[in-house]
Amino acid sequence: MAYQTFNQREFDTFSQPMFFGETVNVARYDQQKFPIFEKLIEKQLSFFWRPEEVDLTRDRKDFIALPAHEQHIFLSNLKYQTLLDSVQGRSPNVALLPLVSLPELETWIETWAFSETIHSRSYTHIMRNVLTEPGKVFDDIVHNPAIVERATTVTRYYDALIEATQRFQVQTDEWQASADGKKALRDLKRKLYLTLASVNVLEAIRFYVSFACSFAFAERSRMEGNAKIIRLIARDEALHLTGTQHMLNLMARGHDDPDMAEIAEEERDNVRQIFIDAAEQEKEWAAYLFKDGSMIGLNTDILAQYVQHITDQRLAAIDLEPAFGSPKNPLPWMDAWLQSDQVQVAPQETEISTYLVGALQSDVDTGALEDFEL
Amino acid sequence: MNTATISVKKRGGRSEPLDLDKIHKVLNWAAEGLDSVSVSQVELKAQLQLHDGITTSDIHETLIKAAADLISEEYPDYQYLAARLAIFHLRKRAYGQFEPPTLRQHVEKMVEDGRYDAHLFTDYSEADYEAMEGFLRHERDLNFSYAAVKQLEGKYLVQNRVTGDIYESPQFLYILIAASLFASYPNATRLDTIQKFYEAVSTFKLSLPTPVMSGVRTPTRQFSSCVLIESDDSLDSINATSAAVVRYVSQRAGIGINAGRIRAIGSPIRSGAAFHTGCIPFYKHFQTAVKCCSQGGVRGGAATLFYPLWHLEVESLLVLKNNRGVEENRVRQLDYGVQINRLMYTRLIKNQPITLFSPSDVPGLYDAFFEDQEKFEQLYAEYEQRDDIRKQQIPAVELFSTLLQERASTGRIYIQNVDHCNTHGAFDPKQAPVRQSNLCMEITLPTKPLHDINDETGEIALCTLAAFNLGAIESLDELEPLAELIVRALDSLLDYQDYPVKAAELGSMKRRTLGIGVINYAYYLAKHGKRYSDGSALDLTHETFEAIQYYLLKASSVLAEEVGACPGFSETQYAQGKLPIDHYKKDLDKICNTELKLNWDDLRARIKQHGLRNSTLTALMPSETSSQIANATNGIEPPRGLVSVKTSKDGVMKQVVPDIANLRNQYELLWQQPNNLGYLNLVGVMQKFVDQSISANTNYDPSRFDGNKVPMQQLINDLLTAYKLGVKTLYYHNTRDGAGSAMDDDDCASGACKI
Amino acid sequence: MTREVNPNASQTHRITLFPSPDPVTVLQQLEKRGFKVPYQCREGYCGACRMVLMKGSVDYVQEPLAWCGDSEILACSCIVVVDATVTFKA
Repeated sequence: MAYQTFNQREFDTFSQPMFFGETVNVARYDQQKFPIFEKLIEKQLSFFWRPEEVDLTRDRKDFIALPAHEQHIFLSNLKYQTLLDSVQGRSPNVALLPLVSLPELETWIETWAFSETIHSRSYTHIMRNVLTEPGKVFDDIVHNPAIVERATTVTRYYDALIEATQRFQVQTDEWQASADGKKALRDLKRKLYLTLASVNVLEAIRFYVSFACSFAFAERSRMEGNAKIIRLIARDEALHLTGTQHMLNLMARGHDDPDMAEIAEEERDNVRQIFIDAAEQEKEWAAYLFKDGSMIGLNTDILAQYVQHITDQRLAAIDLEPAFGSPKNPLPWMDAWLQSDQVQVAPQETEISTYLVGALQSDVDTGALEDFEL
Repeated sequence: MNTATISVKKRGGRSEPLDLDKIHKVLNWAAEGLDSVSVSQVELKAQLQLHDGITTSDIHETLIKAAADLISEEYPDYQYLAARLAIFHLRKRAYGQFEPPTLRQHVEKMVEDGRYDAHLFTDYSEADYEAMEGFLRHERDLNFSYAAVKQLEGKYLVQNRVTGDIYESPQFLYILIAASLFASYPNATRLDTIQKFYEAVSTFKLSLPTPVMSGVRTPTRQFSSCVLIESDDSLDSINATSAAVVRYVSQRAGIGINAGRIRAIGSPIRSGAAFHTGCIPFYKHFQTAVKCCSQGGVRGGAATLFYPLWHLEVESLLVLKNNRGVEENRVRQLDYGVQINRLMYTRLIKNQPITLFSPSDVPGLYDAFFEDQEKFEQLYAEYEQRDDIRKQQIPAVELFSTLLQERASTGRIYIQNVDHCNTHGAFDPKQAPVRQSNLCMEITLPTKPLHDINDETGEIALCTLAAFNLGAIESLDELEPLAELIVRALDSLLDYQDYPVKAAELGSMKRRTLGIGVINYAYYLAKHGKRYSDGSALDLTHETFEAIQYYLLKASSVLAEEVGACPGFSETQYAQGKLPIDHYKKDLDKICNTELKLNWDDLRARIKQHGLRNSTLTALMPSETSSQIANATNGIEPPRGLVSVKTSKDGVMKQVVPDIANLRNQYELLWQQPNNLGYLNLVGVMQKFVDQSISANTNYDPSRFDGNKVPMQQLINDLLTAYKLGVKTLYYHNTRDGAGSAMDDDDCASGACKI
Repeated sequence: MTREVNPNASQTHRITLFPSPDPVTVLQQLEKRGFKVPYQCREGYCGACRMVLMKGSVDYVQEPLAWCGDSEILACSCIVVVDATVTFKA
């Protein structure tokens, strides 16, 4: 059946799975099958920020003073993140929205993708401030083999899912009901599951190599404006990761579509392999970053251990066996950057990194003020 | 790892194998006498980061970083281990060895290289230098915490910010500040004063602000922390204001800009020949001026801009900082101070409208807002009745809600109660009205607009700051000699420094204003077993701030007796015999009626006879950097955690509250406090004595309210309460943005926390 | 350059925690006892401090957003109600 912008059939929302059920009709949030997505939306909205809030004038000076190999590290990460967020700003909408069946999940996907576009805008903001010729850097993204190789791994699953969805949705209802149709649907579900797993890997592992480098610079008082922005991005990404983990776990544990539970079981090894491959690829990337020299606190080995640490932690989160013997976190200073509450902001000396909006209850009982003696 | 295969690159480019014994030796030295620190733990932690071809300097930094990572609530002494390593490294960088040169050698070299002021060398003899060498205590370098060393390195020590080279170590800094300030004192007494001052600052009893710490002893001679510049409603004055802003921003000062007189959009210009573009383009102009210099990497340029709540454009001004809107209608990089008086609050509680005017349309109203509250009320009512004046009405509750909404969401829209600032200030509002505050909202001084940058009829107010470390004093009697030292030091500074704008020099020489505050108040309370929230600290606070104000006034009157009162003394309330304890807001007595303990009648008589050398003495400022140097809690603020992670331009640092081993359970942390009331009451008590103002913050934890949303009603109540208690200014609005580790506070809704 | 990589593996710990007179979270209790438990947001949305509750019970002081399986808890967001045994890697 083709996608319907407004589905007029009557059905019980609570009987719908997350994907491949009835297409969403009324965008209502009063009744929800999985209220967690509504909460994620609220949290994401309360995180709203924009890169222009962060002053980058000192970063420009810092950047010019960095040795060439550190400039390479900085720019390479920025390029890679630009690419990842370009993919993530676009793909969830294109790939997942045509399949979604729950209004709260639909909005979560949109909110999630929107926040990725803020990240993309941040990279432009950083590059414009740090470089005289940002154009060259952007142009290099699609030509740099080290980046393109990882990009291909990231987008492969998305592309396969999108193609299969398009093929499936132009078929007649009769064909879809046939044995071939059912087989195609099952295959499509499998592609969706693997896509979500690959997205999970992207959010769970791939971003963190870049984060570590950004914070390592800032630990040495370099590129601190950049680190402030990355910190806000890291906060968003942690939330996105949680969203994807919820989808995967709801599927795998049979709380959703029973087909998905079977697929999750069948694909356990494949999913774990996706994680391992990504970790290996990120380790190679670390070697590429430090090819001309390492920096204080970070080198190929230590970043590799960090990748292994974080990979095993993420595997456990979706109930998979660790792959690298659960090494300890070799970068404990990352904690301070990834956490927001205990951060004391020096009055006037640092931008407050968290604007929280929508946290006020605005009714005022003017009668209650009447007796106040000034 | 196999360390034998690692080679170390030495300074000259030579390589040699890594000698672990050298590392052991340094670490053992640094760990001496410290509790619960493990040298092996530091080594293990550092080893993964050692790699072939590493430089000696990188090894050292790796060790420092490893030790700093280990700082925790359980193992606070790592902060000293890391600090000693950092000092060791720093001295090596500065001198090529751990032992510093003699003071005289050091000064000679630094003067030659143009890094120190040449006066240091000509003002003192060889014998003087020997005498100073005699009481210099380099071992005090080892008393710093890690956060302190990082701050010294980042902000205070003379260095080449391009290459990162460092040229001095902390004790030289302290003694040379003393030597610079007291150079013009009589030879007979100055070494004694220098020694006393050195003792007080190097043992952290007195805290000095960033401009003094980084600038005094160098050829730079601008040390005022805060600058207040007022603009008139004319193009010339706006230009003069931004020119003055640029000069002061480039000299590392934080700026307060009063832009409240600038007329509203659409006002006729030259009798209607043109329409005025309104405030926003000019605010943008000021923003550009503030952001044009990065202040040599020491501090980023920053400013707070002031306007009255009844300004016709107020609805567009209140939203200038938020992150909605577009570039054209936002001026986000300034902070804002919104000015309010009793009449505005009255409209709020009576649920009446507030009428908005363009200051240019209502002659006399803007001046009366500060000078004369009765006249203001009368004029305001008159103008409200007039049909020929452009105006707009808005329900007060709506306007205050917008103000507080914006304050809550940006955290950086501040409040100034302008009537309190004048009636309970140091100045006679008829002669010298206070029309603005400064960047951090603790300074309230009179200003006059400039009409060009060399205008000598204008007045730019400067404030020179310092603080007592409440945690370092054993008894309040100690405050008397300390007060004398700090008043003398800051007063000398006024003559020693240069003034980039004439109007600032004239103002400073006339009024000689000082702002002396406190740090480490939270530790002081914990040490005395007092808490913020339950009223137990009221007596102690009353007694302490009484002593502070008393001894400072006394010191200033002693100085006046010696060298004369400041020329502007006649424009103060002090000159009329009115002291802060005479004109504070009497509603405060309802929450605290502690008796005065000191002999104020004597002091009043003394001030009447000799006057004061300084028109103002006190202001309670926020104290991030200097309290890290002294390992003290910030200003009067409760800490957020026993160990806090701080971000600033120098990266992330962990700081442990003082004496955590004994006082762990006595500290009342920020988010343990149920509401703002206890804190505001204490601020009210402090304000009773403080002749300028206090950077007081309000804090909200959404999880304490229904639906995790802070009720607007609560914000309004706190604002009104602050006013009622005579609080002059409110600085940050902090919202707790997650439960985080400080979740230990809460008497949580489920009741599950009570066992 | 030859280098042996330090295995540096984390270990699985099984720890019993008791209800505390101070309202501190499971995460804080463990930190006070010197464990470097992985964490990130400390607000219940990232899931880094997820661990298994073997027995006993905990109560949430804030509603967690991160995924949490049937026998799992988010250490940053809950406090011990009945003596609680948890297992985690650190």
